Amino acid sequence: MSLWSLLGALVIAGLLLSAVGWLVDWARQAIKAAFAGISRGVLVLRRLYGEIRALAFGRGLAGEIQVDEADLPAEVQEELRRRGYIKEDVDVE
Amino acid sequence: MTRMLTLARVFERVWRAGGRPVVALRIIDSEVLNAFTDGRTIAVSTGLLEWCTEAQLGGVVAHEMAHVVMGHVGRQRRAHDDLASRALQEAGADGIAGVFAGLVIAAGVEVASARLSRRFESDADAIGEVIARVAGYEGGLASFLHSLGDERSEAGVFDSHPLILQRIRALGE
Repeated sequence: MSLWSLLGALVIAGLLLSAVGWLVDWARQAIKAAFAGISRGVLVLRRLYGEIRALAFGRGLAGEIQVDEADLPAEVQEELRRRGYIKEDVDVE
Repeated sequence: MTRMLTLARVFERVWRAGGRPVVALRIIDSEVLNAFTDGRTIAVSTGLLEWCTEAQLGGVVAHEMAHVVMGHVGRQRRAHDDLASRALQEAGADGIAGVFAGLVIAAGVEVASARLSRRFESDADAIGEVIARVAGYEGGLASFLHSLGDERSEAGVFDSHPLILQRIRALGE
């Protein structure tokens, strides 16, 4: 093997090693960022837990009906009231 | 043609029983058994039209009419979009961290949204059954669901509808 081939092989090996090092470093950073993102997401979900729960259980449905209450048959009104879509009448003194 | 006339009659009776909401009827040329609403129209597939008896059709249209009456589509979209955009804004991350924060938030909001959707489906079944009864199609939805046959015993967290067996049971109560 000539001196030139030996030098060439050494240069290629060095380049390969630094590429592997760069890739490992990049993967380490990416994994760190992914974990940071996941914990950030969990933190936000925990902060908004009340609103997410309200969304899941459909709180505050009253006042959402799209027709004039008076046009609805009494049975339909009753069932809508029972399920919270029509507010109960409250007497205000 | 006869089926179209039947659908027109069903729609008119159910629309009256539902308090005459602002809604149009649309027929979709598809063999899939399907009916849905976007809040302004109720769409029925030709496959469903061929498959159902008049009473079953009445039950299905009454279910969709109940969604319209209760404003489910708009409410679900607003609640989902507002919460998702607020959550993503609060996360305030970018790059790889932002992608993963977004995935976690999207999964959380989707689970909550699917839970709300199942609640809305149950409400539409119950209110729809009352509307169907007033329109003269009592038991139509239960009969239709029964004809589909589905033996799964547990709904997934991302499922938008309750299980068919649970729906039939609830309608019978």
